[in-house]
Amino acid sequence: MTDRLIDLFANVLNVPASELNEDSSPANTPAWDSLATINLVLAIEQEFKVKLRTQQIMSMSTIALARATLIKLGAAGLA
Amino acid sequence: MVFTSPIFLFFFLPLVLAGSWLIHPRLLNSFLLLASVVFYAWGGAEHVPLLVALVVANWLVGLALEWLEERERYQLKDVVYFACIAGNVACLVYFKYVNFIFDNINLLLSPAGFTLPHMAQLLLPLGISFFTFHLLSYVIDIYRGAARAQRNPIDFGLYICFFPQLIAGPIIRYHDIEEQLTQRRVDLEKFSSGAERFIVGLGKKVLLANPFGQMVDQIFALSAADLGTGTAWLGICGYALQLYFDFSGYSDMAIGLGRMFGFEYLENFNYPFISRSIHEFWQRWHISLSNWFRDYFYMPMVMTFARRAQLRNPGVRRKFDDRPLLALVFFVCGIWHGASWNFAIFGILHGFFLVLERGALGRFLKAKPAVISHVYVFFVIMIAWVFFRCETLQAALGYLSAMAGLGGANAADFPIAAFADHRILLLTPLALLAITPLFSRITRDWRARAGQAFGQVAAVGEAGQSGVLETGLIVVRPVLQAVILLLACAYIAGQTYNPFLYFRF
Repeated sequence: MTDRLIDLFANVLNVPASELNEDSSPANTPAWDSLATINLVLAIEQEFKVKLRTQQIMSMSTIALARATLIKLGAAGLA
Repeated sequence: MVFTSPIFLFFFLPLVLAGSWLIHPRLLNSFLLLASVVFYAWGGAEHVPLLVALVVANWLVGLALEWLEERERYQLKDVVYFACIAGNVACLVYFKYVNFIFDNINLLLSPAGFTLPHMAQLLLPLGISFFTFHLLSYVIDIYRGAARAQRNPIDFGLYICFFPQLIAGPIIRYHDIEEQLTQRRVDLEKFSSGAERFIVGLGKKVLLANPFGQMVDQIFALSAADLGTGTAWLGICGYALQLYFDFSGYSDMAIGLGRMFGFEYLENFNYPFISRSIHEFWQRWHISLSNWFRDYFYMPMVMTFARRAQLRNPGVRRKFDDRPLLALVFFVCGIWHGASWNFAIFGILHGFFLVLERGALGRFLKAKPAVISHVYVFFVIMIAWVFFRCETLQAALGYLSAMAGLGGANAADFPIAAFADHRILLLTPLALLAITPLFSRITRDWRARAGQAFGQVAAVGEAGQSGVLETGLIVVRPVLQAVILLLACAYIAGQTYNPFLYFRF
């Protein structure tokens, strides 16, 4: 089964979804740089119909943390 | 007061350390703040009122922002926030850039007979670029909700004014240090690792940066006609080493001093000369400045423009092109170093190559052997540092022409041997060794912490470390550090040449 969030990260970072997991972060994913963070935010906001605050963006340092933030904001299909 | 002055090493530091051990813990921050103000006043007492006024004003604004947030008065919060940011920036611009701006306006307007006054008496407050960035970090963190407003003005004052980082950084983001202001501990292990780090920094500054600096000053004092190609390259390579050992040595001392008082600062350098791109260089050089620009300037600006672009084309998912903004960030980063077009060009050059690396150049470098990337980085940073070192555009262009083999009409009168004396020849292999990760074995702890501290920057040089080597280093390291300390003290006692390059920023 595919995961919406992992697929989104794979698409934006241009890496295979199989290379990503919940612990993926800028430290262990070379493609995840500052610009990628911006593009991830834009894609997440569009995909999950949410608006992220600066502090929420800064705290999304792993895919698991991004998922937790989105679940808190009421995004569907992520749990 | 500079860290390498006898008054700091033999009087101020021992006194403050002794005081911090003897004083009641509840009064410790007040004592350290007072000591920091004395440290600052030693270099320029006339600007202490300005520093105090800025600290008090920003502390009050922090409280106001939180109060307004709790009462959901968001519009007023925005007004207070932007007024505070504008006030801090205006203060920096007034002291650092007003003459530069006026002179350039005058250049444009003088044909029309209109001139603005030159403020000849304006003294640059020591460390203003650094403490302004600390103040901005605090206000932005509170506004974003990344940290709670500091209730205690003494603790807030210590964040801005603590003497290890007050004058030349590292630039510490408030959210990184908020807890340590009230909860930190010093044990023997931490204190000794801080002291060791301080000694390494002292050695870098006094035993490496200063001798190279003396050679560099002599070479850069020559006119383009007197500069041979070899001498010009010797001068700029020497300057690269001087600048690195000067500033990374200062950062080592600041980090070491911080540890001796219980603070953990993030690393400021991570062997920049091993970089394979300009992008990587800025992840390794003056990291605290790059982090500051990324978090408080680049990210919010790019986010704003990216959202606007998306609003114009709703439903279309496109990747945002940040290249113009990236160039702007590096222009500002260049001019942050000083009010001159040379610093601006330094920033523009770095921004230009960063922009190119986003495209075909980046792909080319990734596909080619590492040596090509290293050669590319070497040429870019050396050329950019010519603008950084020379005081005028004309001098920089003359120096570059000598590097390109177009100067040096009288070069025979000033051969390389006249500058590269036996001391430089002896120090060069040591310096080249010290710019590689091999040097980290002497600073016991920081490699282990590097992975956590840097986040994105991977630790290097860990693999292949044998048990025998490590055991040997445990014995050799303290001996080596004792030798560094003794030599550095001997040098300080006997020499007058001891400038700190980053103090003027």
